[in-house]
Amino acid sequence: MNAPLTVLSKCNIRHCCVYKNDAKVFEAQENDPPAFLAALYRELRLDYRKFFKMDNLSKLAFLASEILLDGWIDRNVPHQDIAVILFNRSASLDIDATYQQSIRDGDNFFPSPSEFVYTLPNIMTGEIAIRNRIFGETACFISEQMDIADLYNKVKDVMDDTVRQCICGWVEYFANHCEAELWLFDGDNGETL
Amino acid sequence: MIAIAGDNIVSSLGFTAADNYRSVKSGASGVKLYEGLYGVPEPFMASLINQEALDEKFAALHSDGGEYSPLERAAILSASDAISQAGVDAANPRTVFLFSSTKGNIEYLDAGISDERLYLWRSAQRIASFFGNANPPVVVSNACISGAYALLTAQREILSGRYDCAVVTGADRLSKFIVSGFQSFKALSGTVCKPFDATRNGLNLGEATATIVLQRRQETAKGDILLEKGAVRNDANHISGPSRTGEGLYLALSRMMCGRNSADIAFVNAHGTATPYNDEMESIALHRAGLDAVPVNGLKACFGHTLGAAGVLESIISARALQEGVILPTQGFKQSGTSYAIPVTRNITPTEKSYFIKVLSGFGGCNAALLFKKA
Repeated sequence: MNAPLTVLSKCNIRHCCVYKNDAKVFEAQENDPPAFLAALYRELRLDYRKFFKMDNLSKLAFLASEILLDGWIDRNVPHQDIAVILFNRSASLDIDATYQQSIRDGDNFFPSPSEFVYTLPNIMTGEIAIRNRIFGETACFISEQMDIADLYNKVKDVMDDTVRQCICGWVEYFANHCEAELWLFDGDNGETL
Repeated sequence: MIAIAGDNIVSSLGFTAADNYRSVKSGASGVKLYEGLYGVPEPFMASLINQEALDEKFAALHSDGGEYSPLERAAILSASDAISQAGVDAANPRTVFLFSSTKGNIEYLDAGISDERLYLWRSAQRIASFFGNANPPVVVSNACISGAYALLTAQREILSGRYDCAVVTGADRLSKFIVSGFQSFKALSGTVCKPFDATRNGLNLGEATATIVLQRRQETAKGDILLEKGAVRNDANHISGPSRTGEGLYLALSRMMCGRNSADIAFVNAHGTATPYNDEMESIALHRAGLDAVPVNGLKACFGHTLGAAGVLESIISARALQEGVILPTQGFKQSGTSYAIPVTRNITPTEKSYFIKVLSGFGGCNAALLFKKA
């Protein structure tokens, strides 16, 4: 589709600070990503028990999407016309390393299915789909660094006559590096990026 | 139009697409019992690449095999054959490389998290660089639909006008990490798997690399296989369990079939992992999409579930069958075992029809449907 894309909403998380549409909305006391994710969950006053089962990557993607979509999505109805396309650098290496610890040697061989299921980076797109009843296309790409032009191309490519909006961006969590940048794109005509 | 210009499969059943296709047609299976492999305590059934034969073939291509991981060697060997078959210029700036993998070089994680080889984009860059291609490769990691999603992404890259040719390689290699994970899910069968069968009791894992070269064509020759359309939809239901209503797969199939007649479809090559829930879900989705009269086949008893390679590998075998005008049997299937009756194939049968559908479903609730056409 050649229609220009409109940005309806933006969410940025870096150095344990949260920005919505470029305005700071939350800041953690110290730079401790797991504690930051828990604090942000409390700050948003969410009641979503699945959150506590998630790995850190999915928690980060989930919280960023909650802030991004606030006021933009009705969770009471299914959405077939929204896509979720996320990118990152380290795939699921953060939880991969945790899972690897559980299978290191024969005497300590206790592989955990609840950890193994998160050892795929696209699980975070599934978590966002489940939370928001999004039945559209979901996908995960891996690249060395965020490339805005590439990201924009992928959004344009996914927009067809059945796709109205796309949640797209970069969600990276590895070795205490925690960074997210999400956009909600609308395919209708309007202000361009 | 976007056509398959070259293909290759490196698997337990051989090192070319033609060899693999011939093996499948003759009823071969590469799935065997392994005990003590990778230090996994429980024995398991799997389909593995013959590493010695792979290294020998790689040595003929490149003198210093040690530079590349086993996964990268298999991927380069596969891409090399498909590229030369296609006769395309892999280094051309109008050619892009795509890499589809769930776990890449995860076997190096045991040595620590700082190993650069763990990054999927790094493997992809090394594969593209081997062929002198300077474009940033596209890396898809979308669970078990990765291969199909990489083909759909390649189609879009070409349709957008950014590229004329795409080299799509799907690759995964088995390891302690992957085998133990599937064992922890109790998803593995102790026998060669039985897709859609009443007694099916789990999947077999497989390792393979497979490559499809897609190329923009102004004109096609009779018999060319074209990638017509694809759709991906989510179940929005559960991160690891298939939807009870087959929602995402049904939506993907409906989107893909929009305006098309199911009577034109020669067969559906299913995901058919042979887990009770997956195959049941597929039967529901096919029924809801009005495709329950179309023959269904599955290839997991031949290759196991080859993860990030599956979408590419199974599309290749299916494309070759369509090209030859046959519908392949489903090894391991004897008696219908899904609540919706779907015509799962038992024997090889001729077909005059010119379309097939490839479907895949994966963790994260994602489902893919691709439509291929014989020109």
